[in-house]
Amino acid sequence: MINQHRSASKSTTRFGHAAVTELGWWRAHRFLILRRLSQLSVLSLFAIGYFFRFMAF
Amino acid sequence: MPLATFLGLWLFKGNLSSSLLLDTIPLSDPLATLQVLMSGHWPELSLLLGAVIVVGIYALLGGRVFCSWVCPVNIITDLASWTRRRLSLPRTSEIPQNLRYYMLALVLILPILTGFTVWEWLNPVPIVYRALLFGAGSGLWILAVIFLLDTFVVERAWCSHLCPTGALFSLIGKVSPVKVAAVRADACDNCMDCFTVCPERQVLKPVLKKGSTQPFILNSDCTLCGRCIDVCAPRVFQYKNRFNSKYSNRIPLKVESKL
Repeated sequence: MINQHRSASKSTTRFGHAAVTELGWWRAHRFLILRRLSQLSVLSLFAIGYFFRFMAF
Repeated sequence: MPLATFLGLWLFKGNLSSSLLLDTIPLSDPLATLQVLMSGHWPELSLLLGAVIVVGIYALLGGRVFCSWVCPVNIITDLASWTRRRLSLPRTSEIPQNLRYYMLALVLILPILTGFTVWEWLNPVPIVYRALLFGAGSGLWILAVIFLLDTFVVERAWCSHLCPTGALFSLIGKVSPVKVAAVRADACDNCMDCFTVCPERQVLKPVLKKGSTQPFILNSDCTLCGRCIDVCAPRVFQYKNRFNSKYSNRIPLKVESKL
């Protein structure tokens, strides 16, 4: 299994392929997706503030 | 609009430099606040209090959590780094990682000399916010420069070498309990995928090299982004509390490491 990981990541397969095969797509992208959601949430919280100011005041 | 009406107040009033959460809790960028102090002006109490609250939050959660989980510039530099990987661009020349601390010093010295918070005119973080929220284009060239610099000149130039905000959050993170730990370092198969994705790969070396007894990535340059956790098929890494003694000592690593 160990050699499988190594050969998978060193061959022409896409980067991170070993992790996707072993862990599944979600677990191999979990923190990337969560980080993007976190970044976009903070951004939208500020956006709501701005939008509301323009609409109501 | 409906959400804001429903809440009846602004969730965040202001911007990433200084804001009010739920109209009561002040939050402010510690670096912007320090610059105001250095310029010789005594800031409003809410700005000071806001900075103290933000420093407290990140001291608890991990300093550079800001960089990888909050900062919008990270999306641009991640895109640059993804582009580099997809195009298999050659390794670039190295610049010193500690340049960011000189940048931080410069950003704090300039207000003493000029009396202005000079960096806030150039700081790419508020520029992204202004661009996205107002469609304000002025300053977008700075974001383009950062993307091109990261992609073609020096990899991870901005976030990992130059950004003074990141430098300050790195200092704050030195006391943080949350760290990434190589809890199964013995399962490492040296595929080097974590080194390829890590934006601060120097932090991985101490926990993966042969003879290492320390599982925690204690170097506060680590942004706690979790890319190493995602990319590792043998599940070497996890987020851990470094004060949890269960993980603080381990048998020296025996793996023949290429590091």
